[in-house]
Amino acid sequence: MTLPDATADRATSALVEALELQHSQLSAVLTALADAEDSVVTGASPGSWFGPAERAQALAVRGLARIIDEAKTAVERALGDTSSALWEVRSRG
Amino acid sequence: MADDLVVSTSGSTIGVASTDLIGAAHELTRVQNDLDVLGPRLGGITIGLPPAALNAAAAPPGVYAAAREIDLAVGLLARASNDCGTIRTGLKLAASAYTMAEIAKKEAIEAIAAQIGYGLGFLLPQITGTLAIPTVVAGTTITVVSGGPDKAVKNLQDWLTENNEVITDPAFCDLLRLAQKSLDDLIAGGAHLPPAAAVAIGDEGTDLAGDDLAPGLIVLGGGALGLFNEGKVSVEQTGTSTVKAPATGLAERIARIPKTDENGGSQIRIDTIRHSDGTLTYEVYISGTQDFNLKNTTTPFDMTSNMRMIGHLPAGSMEAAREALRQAGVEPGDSVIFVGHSQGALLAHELAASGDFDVKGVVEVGAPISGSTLPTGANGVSIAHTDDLVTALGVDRPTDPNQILVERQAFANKKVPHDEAVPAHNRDRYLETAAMADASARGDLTTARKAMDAASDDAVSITSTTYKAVREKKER
Repeated sequence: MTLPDATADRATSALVEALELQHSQLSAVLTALADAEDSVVTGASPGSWFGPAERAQALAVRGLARIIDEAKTAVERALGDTSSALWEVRSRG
Repeated sequence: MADDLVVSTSGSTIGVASTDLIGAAHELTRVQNDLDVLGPRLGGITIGLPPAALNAAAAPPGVYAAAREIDLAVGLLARASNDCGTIRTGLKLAASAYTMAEIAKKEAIEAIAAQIGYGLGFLLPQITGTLAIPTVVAGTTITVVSGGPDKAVKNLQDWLTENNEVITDPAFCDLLRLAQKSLDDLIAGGAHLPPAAAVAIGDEGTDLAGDDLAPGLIVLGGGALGLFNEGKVSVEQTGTSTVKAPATGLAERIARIPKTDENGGSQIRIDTIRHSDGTLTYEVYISGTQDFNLKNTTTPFDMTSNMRMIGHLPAGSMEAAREALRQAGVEPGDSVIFVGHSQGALLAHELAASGDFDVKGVVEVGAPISGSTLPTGANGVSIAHTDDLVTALGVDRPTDPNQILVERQAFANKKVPHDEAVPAHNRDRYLETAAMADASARGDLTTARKAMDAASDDAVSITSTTYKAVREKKER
């Protein structure tokens, strides 16, 4: 079935609008995630490697930072996908 | 210990905790809170168009791929939040384990010191007689060697100033604490009590003898030499002024403790806070020891009061503080925050523990001992430098389950000055530590600070009055 041009145009405009909003929301979350990762690395890491507790703490905090980094990477990919989709829709003219 | 704070409460499972471990745990709480907000926020990010609309717009694959990545990130954030909680629990357990190890080590050392003390006490009376022991400890050596109490104090002050590096060392302070703690064993040995009985009544057992036994006997022994005798005390108002704002936090309160060497000798300041409903509450600031002479002096804030209070005997400075409270119109049951330095801290603690007042807060800096227990909910905070000779006389810290202990080495990695006696005991150095404690994010410390500040939330006016206490030299 072929949609009338006007309907397709309205749907495309709505999609562009939704993708732009999603892009901006994801960018804000990405910034907040980077802050959280920084807090973990600088604020929760041990000040020294003196005792066994500090060594265990260092390993645990490193693992936590890696998970947050993976989440950040996933959001970055979502941002990339959103940008690609935006570019593709806009390039249809 | 480095130049950082160690905060502890004897009532909590975490007895001693380095700021590193507890600070990291606190930071993880903050991160977890952030993640718990970010996860749902990320999960709420969708393209927001129904499938039909997406079909109509011929949505490219990136739209669907982004949704999958967002789902993945949401799952990872939930896992990270959970890990924050697990790691935080581990950090607190680690801090607790460190505490238990420290306590076990301390108890082992004290047990050995007690046995040595008992043995010495058992043998010494053969030469000196049991009751001579406290006298020897308190007076005779100083008096005979130095030629009288007055000169002895001067010599002692000179010696303390010349040997600041030695006395401003946490190891020396620990040694002093241990020596004081073993005095009861020395006396028990001197009285030829069976070893089991000495342990039973000593601080390793029921503590029937108490940490005030030795100071009490020293006062009695000193009395024979004309030392530590009380006299009549009178108190007069020396000034009244209006204060613009109530004190907030620990450092501001400590800064309000009178400096007797700058204000003509007024030892007590009482701020009367009038609230919007007309009720009155009070903040009482008490200074430390003014005169270190072993004989009683014209100020009740001297060594006589110090020794008598440690021995739980009537003391002139306590009489002075109670009289100032009476003159300020403070009545039993009134709401009061007590703040004190050194001997003033001891007075603040004892007044708060007396049960006579509705205690809203107690801030002690450089307190020599704290044998009494503060009332529940007193918001007690005691700040002690580990290299302060005077706080080493505090025996076991904290002894009070209703008090938070903040410790710091004042001269960690710093040059100890040679122009002042016992520099780590200086009130202004305690101000530095108090400012660090104010900046600390530790929960129980923050709660105590906020509770004290809240006591003057709706203040409409504050009147500050200073008092000077004088002791008649004539002995009773």
